[in-house]
Amino acid sequence: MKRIVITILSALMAATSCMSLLELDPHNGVSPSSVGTGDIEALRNGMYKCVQENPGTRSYIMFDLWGGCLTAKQSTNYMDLINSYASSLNSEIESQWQGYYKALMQVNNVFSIAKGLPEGDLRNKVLGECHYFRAWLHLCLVTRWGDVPLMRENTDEKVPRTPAGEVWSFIYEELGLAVDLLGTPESVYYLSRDAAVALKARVALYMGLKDEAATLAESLISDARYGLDKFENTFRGALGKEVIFAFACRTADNSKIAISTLFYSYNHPNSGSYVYAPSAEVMGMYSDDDLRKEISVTTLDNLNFINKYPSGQTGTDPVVISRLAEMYLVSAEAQGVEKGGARLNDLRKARGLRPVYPSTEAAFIDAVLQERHLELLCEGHRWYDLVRLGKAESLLGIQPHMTLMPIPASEIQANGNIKQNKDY
Amino acid sequence: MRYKIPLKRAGAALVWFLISCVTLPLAAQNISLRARDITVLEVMERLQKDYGYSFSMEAGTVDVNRKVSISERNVDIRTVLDRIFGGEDVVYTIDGKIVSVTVAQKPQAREEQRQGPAERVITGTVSDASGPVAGASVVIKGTSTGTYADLGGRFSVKTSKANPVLVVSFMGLKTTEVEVGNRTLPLDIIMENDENVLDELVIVGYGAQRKGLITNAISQFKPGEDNARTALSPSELLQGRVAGVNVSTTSGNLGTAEKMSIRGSSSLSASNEPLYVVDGIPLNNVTGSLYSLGEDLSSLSVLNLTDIESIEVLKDAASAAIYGSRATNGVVLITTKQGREGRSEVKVNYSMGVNQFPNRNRIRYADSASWIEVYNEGIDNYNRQMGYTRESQGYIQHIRNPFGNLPDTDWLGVITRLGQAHNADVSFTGGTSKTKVYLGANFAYQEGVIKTNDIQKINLRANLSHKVTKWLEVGGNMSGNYLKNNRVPGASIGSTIIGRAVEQRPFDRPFKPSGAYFLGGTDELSRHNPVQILTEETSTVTNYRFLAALWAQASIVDGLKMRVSFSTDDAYTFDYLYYNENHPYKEDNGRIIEKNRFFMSNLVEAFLTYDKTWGDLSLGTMAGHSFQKTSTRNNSIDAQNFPSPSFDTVGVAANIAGVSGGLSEYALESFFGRVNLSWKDRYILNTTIRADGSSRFPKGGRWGFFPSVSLGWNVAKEPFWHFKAADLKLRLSYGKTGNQDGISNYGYKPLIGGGFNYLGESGIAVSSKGNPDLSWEMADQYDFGFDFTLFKGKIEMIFDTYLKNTRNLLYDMPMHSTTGQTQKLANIGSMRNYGVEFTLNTHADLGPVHWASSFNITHNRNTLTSLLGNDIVSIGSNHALQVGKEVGSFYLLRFDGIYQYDGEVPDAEYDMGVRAGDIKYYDLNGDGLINDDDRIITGSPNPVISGGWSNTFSWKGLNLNVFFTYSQGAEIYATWLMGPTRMGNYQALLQEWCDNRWTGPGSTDKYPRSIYSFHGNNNRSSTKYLVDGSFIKVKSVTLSYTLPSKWTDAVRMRSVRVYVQGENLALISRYPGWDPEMSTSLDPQLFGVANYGVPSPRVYKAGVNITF
Repeated sequence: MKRIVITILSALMAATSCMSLLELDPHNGVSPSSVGTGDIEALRNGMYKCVQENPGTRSYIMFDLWGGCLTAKQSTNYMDLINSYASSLNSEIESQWQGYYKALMQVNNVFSIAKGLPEGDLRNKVLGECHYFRAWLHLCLVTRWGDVPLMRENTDEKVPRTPAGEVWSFIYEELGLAVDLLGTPESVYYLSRDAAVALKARVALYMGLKDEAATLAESLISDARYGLDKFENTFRGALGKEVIFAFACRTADNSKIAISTLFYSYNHPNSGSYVYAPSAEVMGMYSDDDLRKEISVTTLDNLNFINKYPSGQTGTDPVVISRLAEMYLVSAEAQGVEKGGARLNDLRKARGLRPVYPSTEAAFIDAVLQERHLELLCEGHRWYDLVRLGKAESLLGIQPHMTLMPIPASEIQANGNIKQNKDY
Repeated sequence: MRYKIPLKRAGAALVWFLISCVTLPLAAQNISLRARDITVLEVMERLQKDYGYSFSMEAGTVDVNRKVSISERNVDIRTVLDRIFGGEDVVYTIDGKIVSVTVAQKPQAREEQRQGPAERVITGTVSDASGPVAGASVVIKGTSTGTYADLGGRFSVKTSKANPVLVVSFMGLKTTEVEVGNRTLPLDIIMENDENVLDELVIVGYGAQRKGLITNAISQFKPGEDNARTALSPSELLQGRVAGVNVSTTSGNLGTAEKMSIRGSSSLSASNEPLYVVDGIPLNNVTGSLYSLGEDLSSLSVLNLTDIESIEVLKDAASAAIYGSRATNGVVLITTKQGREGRSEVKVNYSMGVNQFPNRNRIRYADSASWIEVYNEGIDNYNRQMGYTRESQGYIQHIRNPFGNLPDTDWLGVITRLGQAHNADVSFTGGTSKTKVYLGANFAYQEGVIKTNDIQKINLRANLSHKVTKWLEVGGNMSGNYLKNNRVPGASIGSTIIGRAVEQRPFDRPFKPSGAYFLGGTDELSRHNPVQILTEETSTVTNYRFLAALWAQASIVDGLKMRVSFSTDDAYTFDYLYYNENHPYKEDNGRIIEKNRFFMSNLVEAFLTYDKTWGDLSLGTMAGHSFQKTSTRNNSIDAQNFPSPSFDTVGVAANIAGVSGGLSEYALESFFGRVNLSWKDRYILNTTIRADGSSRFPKGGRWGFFPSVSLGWNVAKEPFWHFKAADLKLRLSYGKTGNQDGISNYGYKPLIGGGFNYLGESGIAVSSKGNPDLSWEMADQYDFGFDFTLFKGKIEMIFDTYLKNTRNLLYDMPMHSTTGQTQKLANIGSMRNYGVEFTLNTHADLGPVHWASSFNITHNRNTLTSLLGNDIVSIGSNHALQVGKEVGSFYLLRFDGIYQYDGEVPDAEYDMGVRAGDIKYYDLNGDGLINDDDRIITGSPNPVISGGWSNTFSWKGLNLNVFFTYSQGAEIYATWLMGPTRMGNYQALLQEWCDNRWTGPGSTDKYPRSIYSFHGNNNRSSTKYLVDGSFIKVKSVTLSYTLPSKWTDAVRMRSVRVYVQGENLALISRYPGWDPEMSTSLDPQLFGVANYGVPSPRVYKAGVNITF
C-alpha cells in the first residue's frame, strides 16, 4: 500500500507541472493582429465612442468656462475659474489635451485599417468619417493650443509642434475629403456630408476664407431638410430640424459626458452637483422677449442655472456639434455688414427679437458676436469667438498670453520636443 | 499527583504540536530509531524533529555529547529514553510531549525521608516573566513527591522531609531549587528563561526551523489574551509590535483598508503589501470592497484573529526569497491553532465594549458670532478691494445669522455616537495520538463611531489531522468566514461624512422646522446634509472567504518525506449601495449600484524533505513545485428609478443605467528548494532558491529566479565563550526577491478591447498598447543582525540592519500623448531602503511585582536612486518623485508669511487680486508670479523612527498591560485644513484662525486676512498645511485578573480571567487634528495626506476568558 500511495502522490507531484498553462488570454480583448476589415463596423462604432468620450465632459463647454460664461459655484468672479485653468498643471487642461490625442490615435488606427477595404460605399463612408474626425480633433487642438503636433498617422515618435497654419490647412483639406466621401445622413448622430459641410463652413470662417464659408453655410441654409427650430425641440431630447450633427452621448452606451449635473443644484428638480453657475453677464444678457431665454438659463431659490442640458444628475444629453443656427451666423459674419445683415435678422426673428441694423462693419461684427453668445451659450464657442476676433483681452479682461491655453506640463516632460506657450 | 495540561505556558508546547501537525510527521506513540555512534543530543533532536518531543533539562544533568548506539523499532518513548540515559543518574517525567529530565535522588535520601519529621504542607505560586507558570513541576528534592502548578501557577505539596528543597522545573525555563526553610508560605517562586533548553521552532516558508538555527530576520508575534486589541485584521494586530513593520489605515471606520509596509516602501506601483500566507495558503491581495465609497475596505478583516497561534513576519530577503516573485514587500506567515493530544479543552471568550470618537476637542471650530464677524469682514474687504459702494452693482451685503439666537448645531455630535461592540468565540482543542482536532467559532458585532456604521462577523474553523499508518498522515485546515460591513462614506467622496458635517457653518442645521432636510449646496446649507446622507443611503459590503488546505504526508525512507497538498482561497464579495430617492445622489429617482466579485485561487503543491546528520554536521533539504491559478469574475449593475425607498432590489428598477462584467485569470508556476547545513549548531548555512513563471509576462521573460543565502554563527556555542549568563548569535544574509503585483493580468499584451459602444451598436477600439518588455521588479537585500541575551535572558536584544535595492521598478512611465496613451507600465528606475531595527525585551522584579517589557524601534530611509533623468516628476497634487529624494516627498509652495502692505505684492499677483493680508509664497524662479513652478520638494510622510513599547506588570493573579506606539519625524499634508482656514468662504472656520487673522500691518505674519471671493491665493497647496505628524499614543491599557483556582474549581472551570481594556486612550502630538495615523491614500507615492477621516476610535471594553 505504501508503494501505491507514494506512487499516487508522486504522480500528483508530476501532474502539478503544467507550464503550458502559463499562456493565458484575456476575455475582454483580442490581439490587434486579429482585427481587420471584417471588423470595420465595430471599429467605426468604437471610433465614434472614443472621439465623443476621450476629451471628457468639460471639453464641450471649455470655451464657455474660459469665456466668462460660467463661474464656479459660490464665486461671483469668472476670472477665478479662468485663472485656475491657466496653469500647465491644471488637470482639466491635461485631460483634454490627452483626450484629443487618444481619440486621434483611435481614428488613425481605424483609418489605416479602412484603407484596406474594397472600393465602395462602405470604404467611402468610413474614410470620410475618419477625415472628419481628424479635422475635428485637430480643430479642437489648434483652437486651444495654437501650434500642436499634427498626427497624419500613428507614430510613437516624439512629434514636435506643427505651426498652426499647417494644422489649419490640414483641417481644411481633411474636411474637403470628408465632404467628397460622406453621403446622406443615417441620423444626426452619424456623420454625413452635411456635417462635413457645416464644419468646413466654420473652419473656413475661422481661417478667413469668407466666400467659401458663406457658400458652404448657405448650401445648408437653403437645404429644405433643415430649418431653424424652437430651442425646446433642439435642447429637450428631440433634436428637431436644426441639428446637423450631434454626439449621442447615450447613458445606455455608458457615456460619461454628463454636462448637466455640473449645472443644477440638488434643490432643483433636475438635480446635480452644481459645479458651475452662469455668470452675472450671462444672466443679464437675455431680453424677456428672447425665446431662447428659458431654455438657456433659469433661476430657482436665488440660484441661477444653465438650462440647456436637462438630464440633471441622471445621465447624459446629446452634444450638438453643428446646427443650422450656427450656419446663419457663419453666413452673416462671412458676408459682412452689407449682405450678412439679413441672415442675422432671420435668426433674430426666429428667436423673437427685433432686427438690428448696425452701420459699420465693426458694429456688425459686435452684433454677430453678441448673437453667437446668446445663441450658442454653453455649446463651446464663446472663448474662441472672442480670441479669433481679437476681443478676448478687452471683453474678458484676461492677460494677452491667455488667448492660448497652456500645454500640460506632463506633455512637456514626456516629450522634450514640445515647448510651452509664451508666458506660461 | 494532580495532573494538568500546561496551559498558561502552552505557547512553546503549542508550537511543537503545531509543527508536528503541519509540517512534520505527527507524533507517534511508537518510535523507531536506528543509529550508531550518535550523541545523546542528536537522539534528542531526532525525537524532537521526527516525533515532536521536547526536552527540558538543566545543562550538565547529562552528558549530551556521550555517544550511544540505538536500534529500536516500534517502542515507546520510555524505552528510548532508558536506552540513551541508561547509566545516568536521572529521572524523567513525560508530560504529553514534554520530557523533563532531572538528576535522580540518591538512595540515602530516601532513607532520610522515611525517618523525617511530621508532614507539612508547602504552598506557593510559580511564575516567570510572562506570569504564572501553569503546569510547572514542583518536586521535593530527593524524593518522588511532587505536583504540578495549576493555571494560576499555584501548587500545594505535602512532605515530611526536614528542610525540604523544592525543585521547580518547566520546559523552556531554568530549573530552580528553593529551600523552604522557615520562609513564610505561600512561597513566590520566580523562574527564569533557560537558554540551554532546546529551542522553539520558528515557522519559515515551507517548513519550520529551530530558533537556534535561524539565520534570518524573522519576527514572531503571538496574539493572546494578554496582548489582544480590538482589531479586525491581522495587520492591525501587528501595529507597533514588530520592529520594521509599519501599519497605517485610511480611517478609523470599521474594516477600512490598511497598508503594511515592512522595511519601507520598495515599489512605486500601488501595491506595497506583503504576501500573506495562512497555513501555507498564499492569500490573494484583493480589495475588500468593489465600489469606492470614499475609502476602500480591507480584505483581511474577514479573518478570525482568535484562531491565530502565531504570526511570523519574514523581513529580510533571505527568509522571504522562498516566496520569490511575491516577496519583495516581505511575507507574513499566519499559523492557526491546531488540535493536540491530551485532555480536551473548551475555551469561551466574550467581551463587550463601547467605541467613542476620540480627541474631539483637538479641533475647535468657530462659533456663529465669530464666524459671521469674520465673514462680514471678508465682504467688507472685498467691497473695498473692488471699489464698490452700496450703490454699485456687485456690492455684496453683510449676512446675519438666519436663526437669530438659536444655539449652534453640534455637527459632529449629529453624526457620531457611542458604538457598542460584542465579541464572542468558542473553541475546542483535543485529540488522541492519531487524530487531532481544533474547532473554533467566532461571532462579532461592532458599531462604529459614526451612526449606521457597523459590522457583523462570523468565522468557523476546523483543523484536523489523522495518522492513517505509521508513515502516512493526512489532514485539513478549513475556515469559512463572513463579514458584513454597513459602511459610511470615507474621506474621498463628495458625501464624505465627517467633512460634510464639520464643514457646515455653525448656525446651519440639518432639518427645517417642517422636518424636511435642508439641502446641501444651497444658500441654506453650504455642504451636503450629512444626516440626509446617513439616513437615505444603504451601503453594505458582504465578504465571504473560504480557505482550505488538504494535505497528505508520507515518509518514504528514513529522513525522506513527501508532502502533497491542495489548497484553495475563494472569496465572494457583494457590494451594495442604495441611494434612495431622498438622497442627493439619487440620480434617476433612486439608484442601486450592485457589484459582485467571485474569485477562486487554487494551488497544488508538492515538496520533498530530506534530513540527515553526519556526526557534527547536519543537513536539511527541501525541494518542491507548485502551480497556482486564480480567476476572478466581476459583474456590476447600475439600476435606477424605484417606486419608493422601500423597494431596494435591482429587479424593481425601471432604468438599468449600466451593466458590466469581466473575467480575468492569472497563473503562477514555481519551483523552490532549500538546503541548510549546520556544524555543531555553531556555524549555520541556509540557502534557498525559487523560480517563478508568471502568466503576466511574455514568453521570453516569463521566468524569474530568486536565490538567497544566509549565514549564522552561534558565538555562545564556541568553546571560548565563557559567559554563562549571556548568549550571542550573529546573522548575515543576502537574497533576491521579486514583485509583480503592480502588473495587470494581461499587461504586456497589446489589445483591441470591446465595450466601446455607440448608439447601442457594439464597438471595439485599441484598449491597451501593452509592453512586451515588461519584466519582474527585482530587489536585492542584505541584512546583518545579532541576537544577544544577558543575565540569563532577563535582557534580550535583537538588532538588524539592512540595505534593500529595488531595480526594474514597475512604474507607469508618462508617455507623450501623441502616442494615444498617457502612460505605459515599464521597468524603470531603482530605489534604496536602508534601515536599522532594534528590539529590547526585559524582565525585572519591582518588589513583588514582575515587570516585563518589550520595546522596538525602527529607522528606515528611502531614496529614489534612478528614474527618467533627474527632473522632478509631479505626482498627484502635493507630491513629487525626484532622484535622490524620498518616495512620497511633498512638493509644495513654500509659505513665506503674510504681505503686510499692498506695495509688497508683485504686480502680476496684485492683478489677480492679492493684497496686504494675503499669504506670501516663495517665488522660486523669481518671475514675479506664483505658480506651480515655484513648488519645492520638502518633507516626508514617513517617520524617521517609529515603534512600540509594551509593558506588563504582574502581581499574583493581577496583570496590567500598557502598550504605547510612537512615531517621530513624519509630516502630514493636512488637506482637511484647507477648508476651515479659508476665511471669507462659506464653510466652517477654525477658531484659532478667526482669533488671529490679519487685520492690519503688523497684526500677524502667520494667519491671512478674511476675504470674500478672492480667497484662492490664501488656499493654495503650500507648506502652511504641512504639519508635524509625530506622536506618542497610549494604544491600549489592559487590566486583567485570573480568578483563584479554588473559586474556579468550585464551578468546574479550569480557568477564568476577567479583564477591562481601554484603547487609544491618549495622544501626545503637535498634530492639529484628531489622529495623525490616518492617510487618505495608501499609495507610497501619495502617502501622508490627511483628509477628514474618522480617527481610530477610543474603545472601552470588558471581557472574560473561560477555559473548561
